[in-house]
Amino acid sequence: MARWAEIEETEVHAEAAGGPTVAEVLEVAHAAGLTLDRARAEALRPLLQGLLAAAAALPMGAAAEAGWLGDPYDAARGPHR
Amino acid sequence: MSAPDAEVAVLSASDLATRYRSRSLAPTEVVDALLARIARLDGTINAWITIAAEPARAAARASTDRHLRGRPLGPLDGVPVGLKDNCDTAGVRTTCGSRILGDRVPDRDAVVARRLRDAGAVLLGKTNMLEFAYGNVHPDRGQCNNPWDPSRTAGGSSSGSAAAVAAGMVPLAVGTDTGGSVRIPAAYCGIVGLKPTFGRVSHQGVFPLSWSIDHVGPIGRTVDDVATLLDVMATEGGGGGPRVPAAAAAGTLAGVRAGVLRQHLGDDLRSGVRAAFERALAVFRDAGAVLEDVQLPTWEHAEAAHILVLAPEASQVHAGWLRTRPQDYAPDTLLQLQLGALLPASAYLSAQRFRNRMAAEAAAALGRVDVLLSPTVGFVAPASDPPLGSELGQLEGLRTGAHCLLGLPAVSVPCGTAEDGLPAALQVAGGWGRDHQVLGVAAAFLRGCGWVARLPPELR
Repeated sequence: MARWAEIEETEVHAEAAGGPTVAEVLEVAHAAGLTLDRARAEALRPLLQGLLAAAAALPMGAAAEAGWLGDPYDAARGPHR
Repeated sequence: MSAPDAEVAVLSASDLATRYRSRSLAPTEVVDALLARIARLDGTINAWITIAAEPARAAARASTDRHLRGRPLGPLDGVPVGLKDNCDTAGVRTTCGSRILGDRVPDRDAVVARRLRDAGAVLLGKTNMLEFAYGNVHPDRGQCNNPWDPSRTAGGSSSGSAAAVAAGMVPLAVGTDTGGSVRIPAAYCGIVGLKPTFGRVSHQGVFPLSWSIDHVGPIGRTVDDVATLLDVMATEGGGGGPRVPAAAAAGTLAGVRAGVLRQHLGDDLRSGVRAAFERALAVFRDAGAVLEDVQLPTWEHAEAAHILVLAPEASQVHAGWLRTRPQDYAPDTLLQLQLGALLPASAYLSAQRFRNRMAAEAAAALGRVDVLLSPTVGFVAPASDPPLGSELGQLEGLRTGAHCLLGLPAVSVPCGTAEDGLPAALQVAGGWGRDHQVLGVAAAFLRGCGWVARLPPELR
C-alpha cells in the first residue's frame, strides 16, 4: 500500500515540477470539449501549475494514515457517523 | 393597516412570534411593512433577485388565520424568511445569481423550502448571491451592498441573505456555505450565520457548487433565531443533537474548554480585527472558560485542499454549460470553471484523501476542547468581492474553508467593530453533530459581552 502512495505522489510531483505547457493546456482542454484560445490557455497555465504544486505539497503521510478514498463523504461526516 | 417598517424591521423572529401570540401584530401587517421597506431600501442594497410579494401575502393571510384560531404551526408561523436564490422554489424563479438560469422557474421546492412552508414561514423572496455561489458577481445581478456601508460588499456568496437580515428587510434568511459563504457575509454584515454539521440540512433541490462540501445554513440577527431556523430546516437524523433553541438559551461559558486557533492569528489579521478578537477571548476568560492554544498542522494546507476539491466538483457540475454557454458566465467564474476542468484526477483524489488526515487531527483536538475559536475573517468588508484566486480572495476564506472540508459546525457572531467602525466577527466551531453546543457557546458569548442586535444607524 505504501508503494502505491509513493508512486502516486511521484506522479503528482512530476506534473508540478515543470508544470504543463500552453500546448498541453490546449490539448487537455480540447480533449475535454472546452474551447480555449491561446490567450486563455496562457492565463490558465500558471494557475493550473499552482494547483498542481499545491496538490503535490499536501503532506499525505503514509497511505494508511491518509486512508483510501472509500466513501468521499467520510471526512465531512466525521467520526461520529 | 401596515405597521411602520422601521418598527417591524428591528423585531426578531422570536419577537414576532410573541406579538403574534398576543395578537398585537399580525403576519399580514409584518409582510406588508417589510415589502415596503424592501421597496424603499433595496435600490441601495440590492439584496433581492425576486420578491414573491403575492405568494408571501397569501401565506401571511393563511398564517394570520391560524394565529387568530390559536393554532399556529410553530415558532416560525408567519415569520418572513429570505431564501438564497440557489434553493429551488416551486413557481418562483431560481436563478443562482446567473444569466444561464436567469429565467428558470422550478416546479418543485427544495427540501429546505418545503420544510419552511410546512412550518408556516412566509417565503418573502429570493436573495442575491454570487454567481452559482462561486465567488464572483454576475453583471446581470450586480453587487449586493453592505448595509453598514453601501460602498462595500455584503460579502459572499450568500450576500443577499446576509444583507437583507442586516438591513432589517427580513428577520431570517437561508444561505449556503461551501467555504465560508454563510459565515463571511454574516461577519461583514454584523449578524449571526451558522454552517451546520454536514448533512444536517438537506441539499436536495439546492443547486450544487461542490457536493462533498456544500452546506445549507441559517442566518439571523440573534443566535436564538438562528437556532430556531436550524431546528425547522434540519433533516431528521441529519447530524443529531437535542432540539437547538433550548440548548442555546441554556448556554454558558463557565467551564467551557475553548481552543484558540493561534495559526489563524497570522500577520494577515488587521489590527482592529485582532483587537476585537482579543476582547472576545477576554469575555470567555472572565466568564470562566478555560482557554488553551490549539495547533492543527494539517489545517495549514486547508486552503489548498479546499480548492482542489471544490474546483473539479464545480467544473463537473457545469461541464455541459462550459461547452455550450461559456459566454454567459461572469469572466472570473468562467476562468475558475475552466481551471477546475483541467485538473488531473490525481490532484482531486489527493485532496479528498487529505481530508481524512485533517479530520483525524480535528477529532483529536475536539476530544481535548469543546470549541475552537478564531476570527471569522481577518479584515472588515472590502469594497468588492475578491476573486477566489486573488490574494485577498485566498485570505478571505483562510479561516472558514477547513470547517467545510470537515463538515464541522461553525457559527459566526459579531464581536464588536474594527477598521472604519465596521463589524468584526468571532467564529465558534465544534465537533460533528454538536451544533447545539456551538450555538449555546455563541449565545453565552453574546450575552457575556452585552451585545444587542441592532440595525445600521442610517437604516433605522
